[in-house]
Amino acid sequence: MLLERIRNDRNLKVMVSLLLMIILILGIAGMITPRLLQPGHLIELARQSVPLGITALGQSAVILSGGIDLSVGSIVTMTNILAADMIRGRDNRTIPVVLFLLALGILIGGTSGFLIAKTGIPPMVMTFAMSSIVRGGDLLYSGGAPGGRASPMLRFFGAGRVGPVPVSVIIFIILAILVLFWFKKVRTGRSTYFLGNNFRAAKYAGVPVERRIVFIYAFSATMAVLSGLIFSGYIGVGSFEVGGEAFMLNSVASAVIGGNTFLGIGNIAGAIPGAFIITLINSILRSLGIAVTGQHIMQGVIIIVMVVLYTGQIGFSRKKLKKAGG
Amino acid sequence: MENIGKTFPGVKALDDVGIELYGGEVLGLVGENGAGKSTLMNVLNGIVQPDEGKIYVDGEEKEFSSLIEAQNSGIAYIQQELNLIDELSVQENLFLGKEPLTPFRTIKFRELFKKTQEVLKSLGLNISPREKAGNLSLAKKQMVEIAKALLFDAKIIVMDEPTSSLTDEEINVLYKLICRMREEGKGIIYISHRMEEIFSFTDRISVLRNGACVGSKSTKEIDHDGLVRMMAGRDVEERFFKEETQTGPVLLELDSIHGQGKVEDVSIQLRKGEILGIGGLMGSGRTELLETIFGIFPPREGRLTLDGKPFKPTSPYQAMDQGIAYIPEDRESKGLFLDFSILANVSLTRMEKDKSLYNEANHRISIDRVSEKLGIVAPGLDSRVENLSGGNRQKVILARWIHAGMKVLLVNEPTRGIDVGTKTEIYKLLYDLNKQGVGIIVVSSELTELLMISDRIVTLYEGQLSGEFSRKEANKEVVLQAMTGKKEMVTGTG
Amino acid sequence: MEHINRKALDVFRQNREIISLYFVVLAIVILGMVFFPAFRGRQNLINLMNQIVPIGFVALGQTYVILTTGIDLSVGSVMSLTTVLAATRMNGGDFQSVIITLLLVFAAAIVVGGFNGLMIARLRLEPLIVTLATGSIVGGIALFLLPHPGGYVPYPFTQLWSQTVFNFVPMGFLYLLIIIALSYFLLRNTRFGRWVYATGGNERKARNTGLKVDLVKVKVYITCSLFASFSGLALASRMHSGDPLSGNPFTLFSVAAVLVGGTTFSGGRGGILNTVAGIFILSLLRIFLNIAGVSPYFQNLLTGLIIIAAVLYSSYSKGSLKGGVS
Repeated sequence: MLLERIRNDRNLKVMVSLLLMIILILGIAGMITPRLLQPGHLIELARQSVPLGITALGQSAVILSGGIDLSVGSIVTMTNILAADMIRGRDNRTIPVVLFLLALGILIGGTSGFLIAKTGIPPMVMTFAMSSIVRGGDLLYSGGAPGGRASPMLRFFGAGRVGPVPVSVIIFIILAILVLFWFKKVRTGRSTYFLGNNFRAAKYAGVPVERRIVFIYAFSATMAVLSGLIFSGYIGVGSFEVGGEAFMLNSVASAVIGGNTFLGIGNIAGAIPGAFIITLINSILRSLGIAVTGQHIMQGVIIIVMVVLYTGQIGFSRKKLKKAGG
Repeated sequence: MENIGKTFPGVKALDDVGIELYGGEVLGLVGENGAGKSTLMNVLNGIVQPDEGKIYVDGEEKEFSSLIEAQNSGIAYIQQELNLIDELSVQENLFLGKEPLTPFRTIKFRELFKKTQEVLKSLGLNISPREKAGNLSLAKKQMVEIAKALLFDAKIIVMDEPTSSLTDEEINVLYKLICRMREEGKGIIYISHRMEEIFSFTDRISVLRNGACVGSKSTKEIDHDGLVRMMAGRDVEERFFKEETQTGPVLLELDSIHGQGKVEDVSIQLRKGEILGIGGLMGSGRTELLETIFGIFPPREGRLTLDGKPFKPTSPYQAMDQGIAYIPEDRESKGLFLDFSILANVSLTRMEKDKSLYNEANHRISIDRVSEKLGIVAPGLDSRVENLSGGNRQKVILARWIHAGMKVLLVNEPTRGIDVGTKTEIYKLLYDLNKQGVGIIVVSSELTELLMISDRIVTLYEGQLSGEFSRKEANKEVVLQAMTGKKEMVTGTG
Repeated sequence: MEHINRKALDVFRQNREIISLYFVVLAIVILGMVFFPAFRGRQNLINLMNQIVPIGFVALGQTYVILTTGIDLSVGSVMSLTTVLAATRMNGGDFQSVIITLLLVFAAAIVVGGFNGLMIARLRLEPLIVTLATGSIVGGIALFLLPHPGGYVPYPFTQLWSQTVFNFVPMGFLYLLIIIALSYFLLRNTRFGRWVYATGGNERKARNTGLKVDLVKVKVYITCSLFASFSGLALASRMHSGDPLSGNPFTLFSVAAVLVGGTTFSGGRGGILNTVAGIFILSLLRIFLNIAGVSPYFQNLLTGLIIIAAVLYSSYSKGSLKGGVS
């Protein structure tokens, strides 16, 4: 019964294979360095994957809608620098600044979404340009030398623990439940899949497509801001090392490994194991001392392998049907 | 004379099918959707390889593994969706894949131009060889495809629904061309859902049903009802006129609407319980008019009233919210999410309308009922729409709107590419909706259909109203005249 | 006579888009000369030509790919790898080492392009994802070979690029002109070129007509990678050294240049002359920012705005500006 469901439901199959893959990687890594499998280290891994996981949720939504968001990396950087500089270690400033940054994220993402929806500028170009603008804004604001530091409150969110469990992991779990619920049950989220599969048909079915595109890009930017806040809380200071292009690529990789396609096929939930796999592999490579180089190469290889596996599933049947039908 | 014979075989979709085609004849190939016509032609043209069976051309056994091989053996396939690439010029399209090359592997454009001009001239076509194919009308594109067949001296020409988007005038031109090719001794296989054409164009008819050939008859030997019976395997009442119904108050009123493109100064009233037909040629603004009401292109000027209240469609979402439903002419690109389930395809609009949380169980119960009523043939609500036939796909879109609820239904080409049996079902569904008080506006390029299902017909010419006919006044001639713009002939005003 | 007039009119009508594009380029040049006296100098023109060379090749290559509705996001990494190879393998610049290095560079480019093409054509994978992944892998290899900027590109080799002809035109620019002319001819007059347009115009129909679409795609990605390696060589000789990250900004900049020129993602439309105009427009605007002494921080921001404006303008002037992402 369960097996049959897994066989027939693509998204379930993706999820199960991702979980198996995580177990496999952990198993192999555990054989090399048993220390890796200690509960403490596993929790640390979960904590590390939180910022990427949050951003990947946003990126997945954009990808499922048929677009791509190349600006998330810069938005994370921007959040970190602004948060540190504006809060300057004071608790009473934290909440206003967080609200301000969230509003700024919505504004940035919303602007990208608005122009994409209204003018038809390709999402890749729009968000790349936006990324350039945000980075320029950052540099102008900080003069290239970021300052300030996070407040205790922000530090609690980013680095604090409740018992053995990091606060950021708890935040992530709550956030993930909200987002998954939103994209399953609420029309603004659920329609995302339809936009990606056939934008025109969605329009003709009465979906307010333009508003939805604005929402999706605003959502992605908001997620990037949240992820930047968690980063800031963990690192404690502003730095240009946070976020950036590599982080953006990681978010795309997480979304794709999570089984999400530009055709609206997939599930936003896939971003979570996707992000965990990326974090896990990076962590293993770092412990092997081949951090940067290895990460790049492994990431590319995994993307290609996973995509080949996924297309083997849907791609083949699609091709076959095309030939038979008509 | 040339004697071309072929025996066909069966894939799973085709079971031991055999047909023959002789030089100098037009063979009509008919059958309901899914009967295997397209598959059979795909086998003949090397797009699909048969599991068993053989193909003979000129008595010689042939095996085609690609369209190109079939072409090289003198078979031309003019598919429903024309095989021209809009971005290339006419001459490049004609020679695509067979370009004459210089020793340096560059294209001999002069030769291309000359040969193209020759063949176009011989067809009496006034098209520049350098024109981009994308700038041509559908009819001209079709002619270019035929030119391609002539250019490479095809002996066998297969036409799949060539007239589905042509006007009557253009069909006449096509008819003359077919006659000419027949005289030249070419064999032509003609596939169409339109019975009139089958009877007037062909010499012989082969009927397919469920992947098997149920018979070949000379066109003279068989009548309309007999043919329909052969196709359906049962008695089908194809002419299925709408009953007179009591019309209610005005539901939707257009007051001198100026819309997208040519649509100028159109005023129409639609009453409750009425089916209003809109006749017009391609490019007359008929699609644009419907899409203006549906909010795809908000009107530039003019007023709309829906149910007595002013109504300003600014987006499809807003139109949908007010109770306007639209079934587009192009199901696949504007209507369906092919990779998603029936459930997902149908529930979407209702979800948007309800503005509440999506509850899959509730949707499923209600859609199950709708689907049963419409007779959607599928393994279940979770099957992907891609696996459905054309008729069932249309029903899925209809189900979407029934599920969401509507006051006014706009239908563009309700039965394009749908077989006779399903057509009647769709008509019946429209009549049922109509009885329940839904006002329906239908655009159709099939005049017979328009005359059959409409209580009233208005015609559009160059974006303006050119006539209005009650059911009694309407007949083919007067409607056609109004559609082609002969305004002075129009007398009826409702 | 009348016939010729009509033909001339035809030519004008069919090329109206290109002609208006070059009017824009001309207008920018004139405005530049009016507002920036420095721009009138000979040295600035040489600078302009030098600046155009690296972006030029890669944008031309990108044009081939985008014409077939694809995209190549691995070009930046191919450029980086090329600079790394050039900076580490040429030794003192003896003839033999240079030739071997060049062969190595081109072989690497062909392997990358061929891999991209095969994955995209045979396995029907999404070009964006595949090239992102190969870009990641190639970038990793570049970092592995040369973790930090450095190495040395020998003098005789840089001479091949920077030496000026008639004391005015740099050799690199001449190479670029040759490649432009070749590409223009190839796309317009050869079977391969027309097949590129046919593939982009409608892939399924092209297949049905019997074109070897898969082969066209493989060739197109190989061409793109090769052109990217030319850009890499130009970059290396300008820097006199290698840098494993130097190519990155060129990836999206090349896409932007193609789109600004009016070639669209929908495929089959636009071409070499469009891209050349796009390159000029973007490079000129950048040079003006430099001459005007705008801070590099601000340039980032302005570049983003310029790309948005230029892409919007080019789609607007074609009348294809309409709502919706496709």
